[in-house]
Amino acid sequence: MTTQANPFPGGIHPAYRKDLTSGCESQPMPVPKLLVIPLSQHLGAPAKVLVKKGDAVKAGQLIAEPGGFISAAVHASSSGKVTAIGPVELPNGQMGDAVTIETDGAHEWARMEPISDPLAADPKVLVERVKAAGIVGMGGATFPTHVKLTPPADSPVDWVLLNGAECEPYLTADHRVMVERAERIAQGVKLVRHVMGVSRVSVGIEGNKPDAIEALRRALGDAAEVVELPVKYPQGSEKQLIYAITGRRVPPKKLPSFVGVTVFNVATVAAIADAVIDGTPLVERVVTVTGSGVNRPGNFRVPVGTRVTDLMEFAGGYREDAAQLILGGPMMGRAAASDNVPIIKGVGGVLVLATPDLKDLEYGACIRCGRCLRACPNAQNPMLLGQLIEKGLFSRIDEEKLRELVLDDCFECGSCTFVCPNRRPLVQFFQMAKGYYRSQQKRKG
Amino acid sequence: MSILIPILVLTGVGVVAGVALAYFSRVFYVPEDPRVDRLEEILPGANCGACGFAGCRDYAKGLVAKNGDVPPCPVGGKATAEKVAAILGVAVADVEDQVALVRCAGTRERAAARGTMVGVRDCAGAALLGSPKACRFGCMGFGDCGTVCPTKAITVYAGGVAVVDADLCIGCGLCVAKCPIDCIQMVPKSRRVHVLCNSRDPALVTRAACKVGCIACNLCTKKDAAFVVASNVATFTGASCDPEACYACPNDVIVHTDRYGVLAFIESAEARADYEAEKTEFKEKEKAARAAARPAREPKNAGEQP
Repeated sequence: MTTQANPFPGGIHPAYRKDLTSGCESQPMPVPKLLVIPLSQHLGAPAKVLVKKGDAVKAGQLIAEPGGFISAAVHASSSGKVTAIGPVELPNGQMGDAVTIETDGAHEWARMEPISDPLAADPKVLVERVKAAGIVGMGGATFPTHVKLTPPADSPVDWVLLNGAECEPYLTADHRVMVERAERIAQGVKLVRHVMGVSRVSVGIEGNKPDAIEALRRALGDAAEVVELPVKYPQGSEKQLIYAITGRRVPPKKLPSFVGVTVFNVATVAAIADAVIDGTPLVERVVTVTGSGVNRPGNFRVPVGTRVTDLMEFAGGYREDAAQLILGGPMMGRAAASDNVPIIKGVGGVLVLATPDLKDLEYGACIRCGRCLRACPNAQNPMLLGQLIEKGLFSRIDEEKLRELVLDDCFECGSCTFVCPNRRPLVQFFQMAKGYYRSQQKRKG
Repeated sequence: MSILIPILVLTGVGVVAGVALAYFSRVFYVPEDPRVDRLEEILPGANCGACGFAGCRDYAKGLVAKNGDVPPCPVGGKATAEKVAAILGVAVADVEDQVALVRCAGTRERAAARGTMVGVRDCAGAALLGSPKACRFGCMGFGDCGTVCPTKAITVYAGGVAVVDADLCIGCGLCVAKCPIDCIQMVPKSRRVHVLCNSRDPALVTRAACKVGCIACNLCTKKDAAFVVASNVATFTGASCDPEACYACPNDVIVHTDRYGVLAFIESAEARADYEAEKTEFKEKEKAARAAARPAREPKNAGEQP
């Protein structure tokens, strides 16, 4: 049984530049001297710290417990001593509390007990394990996985999708996970099927990764079907992926479970298998270090909490003309002002662009060409919204229901900004507007 | 002759409509408290909305409806509050004239940079990625505050720090609400001494980020009790102090507006040189005073020697 993928409306075809690293086998990175492990690496409440300064910790030891239902546990990525607990700069540019560990190099493990015969175990036990292992969505949104595994009773899930699209240019972390850990993903799929009681599991992979499609088809067998997706950005966005594979449309402001679907990143599913079968919590992830400003681009298995500066050193350092550091991919990643920030669970790429890659960034007025309307995968009107925000007409945005219908539904894929002939920073406008409404809400309540 | 017809018709229509209007304006007359008009007259007329009402007339209506039990007009200050109280016959609201103050002196030469802001060049956009300055609390200098100011009292000068012109500022507080990093504060207009730093980071972090950061060393509090240190930053809470108390600051963040304007203190090289000279002079004077106050020790020591 094969499903024909439905192309979603809109989208763009940027230069993918994945060949820089797609053939590089992921190398384990040696544990750095210093690990900075933030307490808030996920959506929701920050984790509550359990250790104090001076404590000795082991690799995989729980150092912070979930701070609420939508929250996730945090573990030490290697053994060593806690040297500080306090605010540090996070990859998103904001400050947040983190546990700093000076590693001892021994990398002594303290794993959880593996669950023997997990397919016979109570699903609740497995969900507890996923929660205890601190697993979050590794595609970037970092939504706690144990919450996704227990959908609300009023919207039962009958179809689970695995997201292996990796439509973001440059990044190949998921690609390498699919090629190298296909067996692990297959084990994870069986666990997810068991926990959620679903019969149908599909894996969506963009057609530009034939080796990953092949590897997963072989490993999964009958456990799940592998759907080859058309190569188009943002194919890996949740709603676009759901439409492509199932033909179901998720209405604005609704979660995928509203149409009976749940989506997991392929790396997340592998992490679930690690936690259940080996008892290993989420303390390591594959990160693509790439771009024209890196000496030795590649995919690295990086302990969570490794600072970008250490990772860059391992990747051969910056080239002389390196000019911009982006955490994540070029479309949805965030420019970082400093490389003294830690790699967290949701960071799949470190992109360094050299001067020749950076174009003139001055922007002009909207010329109303309408290209952004055609590119928007959500069929919205970035042109109008961008103009209103630029002029600060927030009250009009509220009045015309643009905020509810358009702004809240925008997932900041950047397609509109990419196609704009006048280089208008539309996504930046939307982020600003969202920030404005957030601060308004904060002031009110 | 035919020209008369339209003239007569139009005149007739005018007369009928006029009579009708006069009649209905009586029938549908809504009595309004005369105090509203009188109040509107004495209000500043800035229509800035800082009071929470939609302009001055709306505020006047609110005052009458609640009999003065609404927040005082921040623009009008004391004088207006007194007039309002006289018209409404209530007690004078306890207000003081306020002006906005940007609590940052970290110009480009003095504050370390963290990155360059590319794209939308305004504070709201920059704040999403964290400040382009190493200091999280310092003025980012894109001038969002200036765009909301109804009297154009805020300007970002060459050093990249916004400065409020206290003479133009009407104290509406719109800039305070606009600033995404809460760098602007309302202070009483009569206050002569300001601590021009907003950094609530611990001393080491502040020191690394800016040459003119308050490190909460408490030296100023020892000179004058009106200085208060809370959450790693000093604030002057009184009206004025001995200018010499300001020289106690090791990082030069305290300005006494009797001696230098805030703008000159931040931007002008001459004012800074003046300040440095005065500070050195004061330090030497203090040193000499200390030396004089110290009891002469040589003879005593000499006597104790075996």
